[in-house]
Amino acid sequence: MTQALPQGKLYESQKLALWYFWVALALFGAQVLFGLLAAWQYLDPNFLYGKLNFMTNRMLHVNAMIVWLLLGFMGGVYWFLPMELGREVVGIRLARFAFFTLIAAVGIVVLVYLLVQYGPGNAFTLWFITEGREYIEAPRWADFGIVAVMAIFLYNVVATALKAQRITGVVAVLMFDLVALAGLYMAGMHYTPNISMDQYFWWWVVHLWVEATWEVLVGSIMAMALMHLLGTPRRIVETWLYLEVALVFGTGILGLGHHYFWIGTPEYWLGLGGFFSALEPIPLVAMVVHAVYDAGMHRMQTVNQPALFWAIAQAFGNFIGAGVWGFMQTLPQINLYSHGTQLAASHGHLAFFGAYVTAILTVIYMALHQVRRPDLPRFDSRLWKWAFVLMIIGIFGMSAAMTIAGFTQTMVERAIGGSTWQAYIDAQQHPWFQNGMVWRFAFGVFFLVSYLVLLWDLVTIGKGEAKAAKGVGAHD
Amino acid sequence: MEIGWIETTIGALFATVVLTLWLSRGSGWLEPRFWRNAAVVSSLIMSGILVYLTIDSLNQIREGSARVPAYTVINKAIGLKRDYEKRRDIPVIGEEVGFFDKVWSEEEAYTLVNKGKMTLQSRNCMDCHTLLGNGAYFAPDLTRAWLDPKWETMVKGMTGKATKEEAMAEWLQHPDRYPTFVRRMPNLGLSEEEAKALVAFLKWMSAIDTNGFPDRFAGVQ
Amino acid sequence: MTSEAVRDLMLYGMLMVSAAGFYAMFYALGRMLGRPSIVTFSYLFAALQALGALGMILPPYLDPFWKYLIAFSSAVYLFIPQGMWWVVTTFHEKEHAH
Repeated sequence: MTQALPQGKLYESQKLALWYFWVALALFGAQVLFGLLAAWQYLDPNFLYGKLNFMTNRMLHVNAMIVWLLLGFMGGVYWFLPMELGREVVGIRLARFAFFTLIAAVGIVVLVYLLVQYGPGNAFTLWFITEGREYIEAPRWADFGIVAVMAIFLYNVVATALKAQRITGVVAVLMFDLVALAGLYMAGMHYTPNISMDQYFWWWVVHLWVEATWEVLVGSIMAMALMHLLGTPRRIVETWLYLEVALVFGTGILGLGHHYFWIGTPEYWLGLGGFFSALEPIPLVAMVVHAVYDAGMHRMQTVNQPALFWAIAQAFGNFIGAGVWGFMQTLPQINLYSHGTQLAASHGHLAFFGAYVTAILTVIYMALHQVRRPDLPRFDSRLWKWAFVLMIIGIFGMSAAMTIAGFTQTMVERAIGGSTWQAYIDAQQHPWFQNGMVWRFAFGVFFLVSYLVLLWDLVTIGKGEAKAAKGVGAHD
Repeated sequence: MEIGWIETTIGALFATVVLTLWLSRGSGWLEPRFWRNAAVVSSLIMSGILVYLTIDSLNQIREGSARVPAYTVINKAIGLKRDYEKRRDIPVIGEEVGFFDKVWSEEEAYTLVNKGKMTLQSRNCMDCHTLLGNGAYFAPDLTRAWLDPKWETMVKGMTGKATKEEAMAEWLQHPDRYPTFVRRMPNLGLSEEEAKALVAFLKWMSAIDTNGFPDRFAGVQ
Repeated sequence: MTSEAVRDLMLYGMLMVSAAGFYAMFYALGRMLGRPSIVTFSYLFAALQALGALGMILPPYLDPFWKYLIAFSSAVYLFIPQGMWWVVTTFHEKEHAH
């Protein structure tokens, strides 16, 4: 069984996890802010033109997301690992050093993005300013930093398992997955003038991260979370995790082929990628059934209400954002027209939120329960429900707006217009597209508000009034 | 080398199932051992196939291959034609016409296109544009930008240049001077050398066989 | 492919998979709560899911291989809820029996 320390006490690793969580939440806010700036530039093209161009806002929006999700995952592992293995994590001092190094590196990279923005076309720029490849724009020096931090993280996990002389199934999966995750990042650390080769390996990082290793990482963290949240027996959680790995890697590794339709690679990828990719929603539908079962077994009541709701949301969000929205554009016959339109963005927003944001929020609420009110048999508040509902409305609103805009592009720019520069302009100026951008911004603001509500709840839940009501604690 | 991908797929799935069942003999199929084996087997088999296909694909996308042209293609005329049997567009490499009034040697062409790619990365083009469909959606896709009619119909006139490549290079150096609609490309401080290199890169990229993306570019017949 | 074909394929694809999800959700809910009426309601979505698949298969847009793939997926989606429900309940029962 997993072992938490006596009430009120935390492992050092768990204290570190809290640092990770708070920085992650701050970067989440940064992601939203830069997203709003970028979205506004669609509506007012002169806004910050020449000073803080769209490309910089977008880069910061996307990079903030990737970093905060990674920090959230790391926090999740640092939180659950000591309980999973029954001992303090090995190499805490190194881990803290890695944390500060990572924050400093992120800070420097961001400042350079904002203040320098770009440089001449030479190796210096790529090493110190920006590499200019979507999602992995971080300059080469920072790449090395990231790999070093990942290595320390991996060391923490492996060394602790060895010291504890225990490798649970969950930890084994986690270790292999982290090795793969770090290794795959290195696949992006290269330069070639050949754009087809560039993108071939670029996709190893992007796809095999978010559609393979990240899924398994979240699966491992959620496995550890569910044992605590629902008291699910280890055997079930482990079997389920293995099943997930089998299906996710089984479909996702060659599902990578759905990114190899149009980058110059051979035609067989059209069939291979389309085939595996079309089957990818199937495991996700199965997870929906499982989630309903879990939710129903506990009648939606458990020791930690917000965590439960966010966990259930994860199964549904993953299915809808990744499964439905992904399938809709995955067949090559469709993708030929929809590729590189707002449809991709609609899928991305919904999928990342549904699969990853929900998972991290689940873990953060669980951590807060143990930190603030470990004595309370039912962790709850009124505000989290507002954040939950508003945030889900916000993300769906944004995605729906982008879906319609993307649809317009697919039809007007691609299918009818012949994908030229002028066709692009025509689609951008089409009323459906423009309205889509307005609604996207509006729901973005809505999302910002929901984020602030969430933040307020995270800061206040379990404090103050709840402490005063301690006498009335066991109220159900 | 053509690989029967259907056979590969079915073979992979079959092998995964059979190997898993064999390794798990003795375990019920709802037990951890069964799915642990399934996880390991499917990961290894799929990864193995990926490695194998990667070697094959990389061979087919090296510059100078059938799908990805050599950098010296910048010296040639590039066009598109519709292959009605395959039901998609394929690039057509024509006669030698020179580039910026010069015929570039293999080494010179490589240096130029390489500079173009570095320039492209240094200016974050992918965070507004898409390349081969990947990137951001704030600006047009650049896959066939070299073949875009607008250079002839609008930009040559705006910039007063005689050739397409000169017009492109001029436009890229001062996009803020030559707006094409309400949204303008920012001036990213491209030097003349960088602009030429970027145009070379775009010309080379337009000749890549992308399995027909984007479809019927500029209404190609 | 015409723009209408692209539009139809996308919409029917969306219908197929989202209906598959609703079918799974309502089926599980109905079994969970022991309410046969909800289970019956879920079959409406099973039908919608099949309709989505037919919308992709019947027109001449896709080649035979892709039609078979969609048909296969649709057949699988028809039985996932029952299959998964059985798996999940058997899992948990076995555990509690220990």
